[in-house]
Amino acid sequence: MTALPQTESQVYLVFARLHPVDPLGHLGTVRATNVDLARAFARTTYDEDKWIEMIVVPRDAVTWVKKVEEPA
Amino acid sequence: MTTATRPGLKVVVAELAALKRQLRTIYVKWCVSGPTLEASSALAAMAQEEAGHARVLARLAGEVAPLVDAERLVAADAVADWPTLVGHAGPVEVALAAVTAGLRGVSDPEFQRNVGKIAVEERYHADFFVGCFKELDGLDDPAGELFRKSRHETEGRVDAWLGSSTELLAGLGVELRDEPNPGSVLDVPCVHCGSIDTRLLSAFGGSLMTSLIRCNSCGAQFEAIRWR
Repeated sequence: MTALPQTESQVYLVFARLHPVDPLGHLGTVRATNVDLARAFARTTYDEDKWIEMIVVPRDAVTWVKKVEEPA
Repeated sequence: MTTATRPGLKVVVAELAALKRQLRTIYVKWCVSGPTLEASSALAAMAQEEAGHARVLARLAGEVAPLVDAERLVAADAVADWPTLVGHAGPVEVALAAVTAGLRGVSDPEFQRNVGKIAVEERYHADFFVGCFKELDGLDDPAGELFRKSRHETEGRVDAWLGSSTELLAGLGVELRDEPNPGSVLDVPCVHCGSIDTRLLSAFGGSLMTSLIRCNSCGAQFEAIRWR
């Protein structure tokens, strides 16, 4: 078998909601090399409910406003 | 004769079912051998969906036989590694997404009920392979070469099928778009014109159980049951 491709991948956070009035809930993460794959992986990894809306966000794009500080 | 019972449409539907059965064969074989856990999960989910779609489409096609040789077009036996899998199945999925999205333009309620969900899921399958294309196309190694070669060969076979399907559908007044139709958040077709280009105006309509939807195509506003 041919060696599998080694490409840089990144972590995407997955959020979804069940009903229009629900808040977006954080479901978990997927690791993917691009956003198309991240979308496909999010849908198939977190398919336990009939989400009406699901989004993926690159973890690098998150800006913290407040964060639990790590112990010194 | 309604649109959905026309022979030309049934041929396209029978061909979709045949192609999906071939894709399912590949996915079942590879759903524990993907390059990552996520890819394997995606293949397992897609195998289930392809099997379900093929069953529904075969029922819609009835006795009509496909004109295309699906086994030769997909060439599942030639898939020996991940790059050739993407090269063989990817172009077929992208074409299937375009055709199933086009089928949503067929104005027959029974047909729409069945094809609507298939078109949405098929769009995700195309997403998966477009992502894989991006990943493999940039590789300057044997894996990249294998992928490009198999993709090029498959696209040659798929283009011929896509051309004949487009003609058959054009005869029924259905036009294929360049891009698979992105649908709407709620995926509620307009009750007046059948368009899926609809958007949510309000989470609640005249009662708690309905939402208010507006059709971008004909401008009509209507209510839909919220948990559909």
